[in-house]
Parts: sequence; C-alpha cells; structure tokens
Amino acid sequence: MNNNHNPGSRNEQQDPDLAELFRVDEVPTHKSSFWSDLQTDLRTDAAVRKSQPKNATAPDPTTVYQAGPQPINDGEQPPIVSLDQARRNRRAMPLAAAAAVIAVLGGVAIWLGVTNIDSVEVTETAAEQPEPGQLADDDLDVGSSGDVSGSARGLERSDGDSSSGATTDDQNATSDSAADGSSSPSVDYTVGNPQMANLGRGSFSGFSPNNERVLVVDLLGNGQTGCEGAEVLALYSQDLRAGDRVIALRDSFVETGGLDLKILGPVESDGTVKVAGTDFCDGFRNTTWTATMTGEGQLTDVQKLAIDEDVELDVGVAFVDDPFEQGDVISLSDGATVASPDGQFELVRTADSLVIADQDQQRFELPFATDDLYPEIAWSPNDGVVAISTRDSQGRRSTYLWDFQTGKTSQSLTDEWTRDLAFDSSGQLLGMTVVDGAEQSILVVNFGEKKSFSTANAASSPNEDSATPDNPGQPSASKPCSASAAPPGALTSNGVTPAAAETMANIDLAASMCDWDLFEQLVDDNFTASFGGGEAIELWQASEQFWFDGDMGRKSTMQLLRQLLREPSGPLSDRSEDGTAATVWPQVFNSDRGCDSYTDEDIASMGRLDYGPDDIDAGCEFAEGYIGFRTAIADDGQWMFFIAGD
Amino acid sequence: MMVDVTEPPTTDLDLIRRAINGDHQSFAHLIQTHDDRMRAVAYQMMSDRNAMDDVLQISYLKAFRSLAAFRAEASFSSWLHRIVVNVCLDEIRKTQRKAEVSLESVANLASSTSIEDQYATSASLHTALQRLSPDMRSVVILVDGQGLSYQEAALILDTQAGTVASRLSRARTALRQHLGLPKESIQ
Repeated sequence: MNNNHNPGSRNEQQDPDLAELFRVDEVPTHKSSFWSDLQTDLRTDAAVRKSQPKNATAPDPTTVYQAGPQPINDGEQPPIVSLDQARRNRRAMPLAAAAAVIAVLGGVAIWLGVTNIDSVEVTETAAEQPEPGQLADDDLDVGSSGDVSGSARGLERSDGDSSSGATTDDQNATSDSAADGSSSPSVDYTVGNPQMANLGRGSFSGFSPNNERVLVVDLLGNGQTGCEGAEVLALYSQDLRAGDRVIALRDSFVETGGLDLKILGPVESDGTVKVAGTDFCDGFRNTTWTATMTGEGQLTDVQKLAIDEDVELDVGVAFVDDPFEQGDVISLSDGATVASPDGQFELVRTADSLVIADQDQQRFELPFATDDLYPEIAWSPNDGVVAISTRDSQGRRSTYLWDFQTGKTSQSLTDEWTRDLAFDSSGQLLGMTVVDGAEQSILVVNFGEKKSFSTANAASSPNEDSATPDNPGQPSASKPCSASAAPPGALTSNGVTPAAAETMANIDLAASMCDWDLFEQLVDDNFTASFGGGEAIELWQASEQFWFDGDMGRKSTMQLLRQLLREPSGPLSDRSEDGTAATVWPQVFNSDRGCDSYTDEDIASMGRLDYGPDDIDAGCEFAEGYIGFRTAIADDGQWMFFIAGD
Repeated sequence: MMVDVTEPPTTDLDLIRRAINGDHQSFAHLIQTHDDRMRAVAYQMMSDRNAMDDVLQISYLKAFRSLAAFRAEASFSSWLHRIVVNVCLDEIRKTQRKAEVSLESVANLASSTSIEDQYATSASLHTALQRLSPDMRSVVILVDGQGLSYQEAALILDTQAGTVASRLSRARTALRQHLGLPKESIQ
C-alpha cells in the first residue's frame, strides 16, 4: 500500500476530519502488469499515429461511421465497420435509423415508458429509404481542428427522391418537411447581426409549441431549501414579449436539486408537444416523467416513468450501449448523438471532435475541437444550420452557426459560455443559457423579423398563476387546500396515548385546511422535516403552492400527511434514534418490518402513500426497508418528524 | 513494470512537448509523477482496484491522444484530474454502479466511538463514499481528499466554484452522517 497519494498539506477549504480520513486511506498500487500494458498501448498508439498522414482525420469514404452508441469521453474512436457490413447490419437491425426515427418522432419509446427495447422493429422499407446526399470523394476534405472559419465541405442532400423507395408515413413527413421546407419557413441564417435579447435570470429549457414563450428553470427564490439542502427550483413559462412568468409545472413536492426538460416534438395538431423531464437530487433519487406541453407551455398529464432513478436528461434521446446487442437501447443519460430533424443524419460527439454522420455512407468532421468538454448542439428544424457552443483550439468559447450546405461556419453569435441550445419550431429563434460565473440567464437570438422582447417580469402579481422566481406568492385565499377532502380510511387513535391522539387530530385538522398557523403550534425546534433542512412549514407552503389537483398523478404533501395518519401505525421501534416512546405511521416503516415480511396489506398501505413497487424495490435495495413518507408522534404528544427518504 | 527513466529531471511542459512529438516514454514519465494522486482519485471514485486500473488505463491513453489539445491554461495536473474524473464518471454511469450498502453497515460505522476507530478501517470511508452520488463523490474527493481549492475543483469538473461549494456542503453532510461523525467539523 502506498499512502503518499493524498496531499499532506491542507488548505482552509478542507474539512479537517474528512481530510484526515482521506489522508490515511490506503490506496492500492497498480496490478503488476499495469505499466507494461500502458507502455504497450502508448507505443502502439504512437506508432499508428506516426504512420498516418497528417490529415488522418479525413474519413475513409469506404467506411461508415457507426453513429449512435458511442459513450462520451471514453478515449476510443468510434467503431468503424465496412460499408457492406454496415448495410448487412442495417438490414438486420438498422438501429441508427431507428435512433433517428425515435428522436424525430418525439422519443416514442420514452413516451411509451420503454426502458429496454428487446426488439426494435424496423422494416426493410425503412432500410431502403432514399439514400441521402451522395458525396464525391473529393468532398471529404476535412478542415483542421479548431479552424473556426470552417473548411469541412458541406453535405449535399437529396431533395426527397421519394421515387427511389417507399418510406414510412412518419419518415415521409419528416423528410418532406425538411426537404421542401413546407413546415419550416425559410430562415436566413447568414444575417450578420441577428437580434439578441436577454430575457432574464434562469436556465433555458426550450420554447413553447406556439413559439411565444420560453421554458425557464429558475430558483423559487424564497430562501427555501429542498432536496439535500439544495435550493428549490421551479419550471416557469415566460412570455417572450410581456416577460411574465407563470409556473409551468406544479409538483406536489418540488424539492428538486435540479430539473431537466426535453421537448420531444413534433408539435401535434392540437398545438401540444410531448416532453420528458427529470427532477433530480444528488444523493437521493431522480424522478423521470413525460408530460404534454400545451401551446402556451403548461405541462399537463404528467406520467412518471418506471425507469432507473439514476437517469438524467442531460442530452436527450441517446444510445450508450451497443444497440446491436439489443440491450438498454434507450438511455436518457449522457449521450453522444443528436439526430437531425429529418432523421437522415446524426451529429456525433467523439472523444475530441464533432462529426456529422450520414447514416448510410459517410462521416464528416466539423471544424471544432471539443476537448473533453461537452459541447452543446442544436439542429435547426429545417436542417439549415447546426448551432454549437464549444471552444476552439485556442480555448475561446463561442457559440457558432455551422451551415449544413456550405460546411462553413456562418457566424459566431456570442463569445459567452452558453449551453442548453435549442431552436423554436419555426427555426427563427435560437435560445440558450448564458453562464456567467454563478449567474445564468436566458439569451434568445432572433433570425426572423425584429420582435419586441421583455425580460422576466418579477413584478407580476404573486398569485397562483403568475408566481415569479423572486416572489412565488402564497396560496390565494380563494384557493382551496389540496387536502380539504378527507382521504380514505378513518382517523383512529387505537394504540396511541391520549396526548398523541390529540396531536394527531390537530395535525389532520391543520393539513385539511393548510392552516400554517396551527402547524406553527405543532412543531418545535426538534421537529424534523424532509430533505435536509429548511423550515418545515415553508417547505409545506411551497409544496402546496405548486400542487394542483391531479397534475402529477400523486398526492400533495398535505394529502400524504392526512393519508399517513389513516394508515396502520405502530410503536416506533429501533429506528428511533433516541429511544423515545412514540407511534409511527405507517407501521411498515419499523425496522422489524423487513422487506421479506411485507404483506399484501403493507403493500396496499404503501401504495396509498404513492410508494409503488419501484419505490419498494429501491428502498429494500438501499435501505432495507420503507423510506417513503412517515411521521411519528411521541407518547407525550410531541410531533417528532414528517419526512421521506433514507 | 516501472518506466526506466534515464533523463534528468524535467518539467511537465518539457515532457509534454516530447510526448506530443510521439515520445511515449516521456509521457509515461510524466504520468508517473502524477500517478499517486490519480490513483487515489480513481480508487476513491471506484472503490475497486481493478476498476481503478481500468479507468486509469483509459484515462492515460486518452490523455496521450489528447495531449496536443492541452493548452496549458491550467496545470497538467488539473487537466489530468479532469480526464480521470470524467472517465470515472462515465464508467460509473455506464455500469450503473449502485451503492450496495446496508443500513446495518452504516450503523456499525456510526457505533464507532472515536474517529480513530474509524481510521482503522479504510473500508468505512469507501463504504460511505459509495453512498454518495458520483457528482458529490467527485467533489469531496477533490477538495477534501486531494486538497484542491473550490476553484481548482470547479475547473476540473467544468462547473462554477459556487456549485462546488454547494455540492460539497451536501456531500460533507451526507458523508459525515454516513461515517457517524458529528455534523460540524472539528476545527
């Protein structure tokens, strides 16, 4: 063992206890073959590079770039297979095409709640759709990495030679719209000085289907802490012209450490669009859901997906495993590809470059070095340009437009650090988040006619429909408490002391009226609320603020509290930290109710608390028991906690 | 097999220049001078010796291939840290590693009566680290383990120092809880 791996000197930003633990941590040496293996790899790599011509990054026109499944930052070049082999693969399992179709059709598989696709059905006709643009060999001149003026040759696209093969309706729809621009007005991306507007604080999440609002993730802004002590965020819909912000998604417990939203498109005939989102909390659990976004940007019909809680929507629909293995085909985790709107091309991020991959024959490297950063990418809806936020070879950050037809960088939009790039459905607006230190703001670039934009209007009335980040407002007097209706089951005091029974009744009463003053009388300094801090009542107020009936398909916090008190209870056993005699709801929380002993009644009880089979599995895996909402009242009537999590 | 180093001591930049020109021995020498710290980061992130070696093989080869992109904006150490941490995070995401830690094992940690007791078992730190999310794990390893400043950690993680601070706060709270340490650090 070797212990000189952790610095002996400390700085004032270290936690001394933890630093000491790290200092004495025993880190094993390498296995004996480590250095010889590395030397072999380095020698081989150096020899290969030495044998290659200087422009070795130019693609071999006889090979096909197997777009789609490449993991990020793995240091390996994506596999290249022969054209013949690729075609055979495509006939057997043309998943690259399927990838694009999935992305273009709005993440169909995600929408259906699919996490593992055992069989992706792609017909021969899909595999034999018209070949996209053909390129002569001399079109494969690839620009030097970092040359922001761009020298990669453009991709000549077919204009929808539909006579050469049948396609599916969906593919026709997307291809046609891209080819003739019927669904996307012509946009002149060469305009030298597009209109730019900063719309205020927040993180950009996309445009509403009617292109009149932006979706913004921003702090709730009232000092509350939620998940693991993180600041509470909310998703807002902000009018581009008036600047007013309204809450687009009201969760029953928005304690998120972060919120990612992806618009899955296309816009439906009724003006809505499918979206997917993830609430995530470091150290806790993520919740991934799909929803329908109205034309005005409101989220409805939220459906939680039964997928792994580690999933994040960092990129969107992407592949991380070899699709030919038919394993976890779809992952929402960090991905490396973004399909073009017409599904014919994919933009692929390799270890150190960006590549446009024609799914049939070619690959083309864009003139941007990507280092080991995560460049942000957005296709315009008519495929005219790709917007890229990255750094050039000199380390300069910039947001570029790369022209698909000419293969050149058409312009640099801003040299600020940007991310979350996305076009609106017209292609006229490009939105992004500008990162300036700890501050984030929304930048919209307008390539169409000049418009009037307004920054976020924090002076809006703080009522339930126009809460702003700085003033989320309180439930209006006319708004009913979410828990005013009594949940199923009776409030019984069997097995609890009279003092505890009185407290129980008061809690139920307070919850039924969202009576924060009464709650104030029921909690003291020793009371524990959920998720790592914050004032309990403020958390519940925030929860109530965001809740509205049925929106998340689960109970509000106040409803859960009332339901808890109607579930089977029991003496708080050895999961009580200080041995206080108390009653806990639900009874299944007690450690003597191990996962192996769950009865149908237990499972039903947990189900009434929105703690479903996935939650049961997760709780048993990570905490060997129930970790959903529970509450306890001491025998002396003191309300002890109302918490969830491990 | 250790690399046979016959050259006189040189700076990182000297070695980098040679490595860029294909001198893989110089690169190996360069890597060896940083290997102790990278090994600690990789091991604490992965908590497995084989996984540690795997991610470092990948990381070092990636660094060798990407060396031309090293622009000396930050130190080579920071640049290498970033690669190692990113590879670790990628590996963790790919394998969807789960922290298989029982409450019982954590309770055993908490029942230790002194920090010294816990020092006796380095596994306790790793057990607790594995209960953190990869992002939280990486920040606490860099700051509390490697002694980096918030700014240095932010550079490596490609985020802001404020994010590092808030993430670190949560990581420390969770880690101290898992280790049975008091909430506030002992100054």
